[in-house]
Amino acid sequence: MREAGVKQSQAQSHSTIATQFASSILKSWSGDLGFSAKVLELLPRYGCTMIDLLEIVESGNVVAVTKEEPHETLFELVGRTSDGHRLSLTISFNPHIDGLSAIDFVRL
Amino acid sequence: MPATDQLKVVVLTEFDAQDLGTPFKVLLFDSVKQYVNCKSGKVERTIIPNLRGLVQKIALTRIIYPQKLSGQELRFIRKAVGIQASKLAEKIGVTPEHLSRCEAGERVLSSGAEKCLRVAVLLNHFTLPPTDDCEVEECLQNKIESFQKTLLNVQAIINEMNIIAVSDVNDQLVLGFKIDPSTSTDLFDDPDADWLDQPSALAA
Repeated sequence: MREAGVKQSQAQSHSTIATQFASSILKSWSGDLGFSAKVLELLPRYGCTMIDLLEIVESGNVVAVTKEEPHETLFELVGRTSDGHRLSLTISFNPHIDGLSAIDFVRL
Repeated sequence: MPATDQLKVVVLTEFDAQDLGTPFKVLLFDSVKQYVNCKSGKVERTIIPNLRGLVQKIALTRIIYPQKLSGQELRFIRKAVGIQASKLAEKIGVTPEHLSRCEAGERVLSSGAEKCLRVAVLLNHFTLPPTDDCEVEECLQNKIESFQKTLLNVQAIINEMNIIAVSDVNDQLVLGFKIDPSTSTDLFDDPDADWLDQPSALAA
């Protein structure tokens, strides 16, 4: 029972550290924003624009880090655009690629 | 996405930013980078440098262009410079409801209110953000002084501006931009990179 509690606490700590890491990536972001082919395809389909995604990145509300590898970190941001769209956006940080890249998003 | 050594980097001579959300055509010259998969030829990433800077530059360029602002353009410009509708309405002396109807295309902003809006957007753009960092503040202060000189010139242009209320529906407004190489050591990953107008792309 106690062991399970310790494991849960460790998992929560790791999640907090990972989220803080993603937030620090956002703080040091150069402003360059990349778009995957999938995102460019989804934008007109969902009636969204690059500016909508930019607003979500700038809002900086990191809700989860989904991948942590040396060559790529993926994290999820959730926010509302000034047009009222609520979006969940997956961002990729790859130290070999400029800025941040929007690789997927969904309208909530 | 494949490893970066399997990707080819291409800087596009021209990129049509059709998904940007502008109500007019925006072309970007020699500034957009694409990562292309060497094997499949598929474009994996399309990178736009300093996207917020670009959006603000587009708004400012449109503000100085004398063609009457459509409802969609009003909305785009307000979003681009980050002013709340209620605050902007107050600055230009209309009710928030009237501004909202103008943005929706149900009403038309008077020429006088539109000029006020153009000046308000410029003033908002050149306002210093609050900061506790002395070095940053000094740097910003230098920038603001040069901006203020520009602003006075721009205000004079707007005061003298005759807004073109009628235009041929077949004429499409096209604005072109390019990263200023003098402000950026590298076109990418440089937070100081500035966007420049490319007037040759402008067609009315």
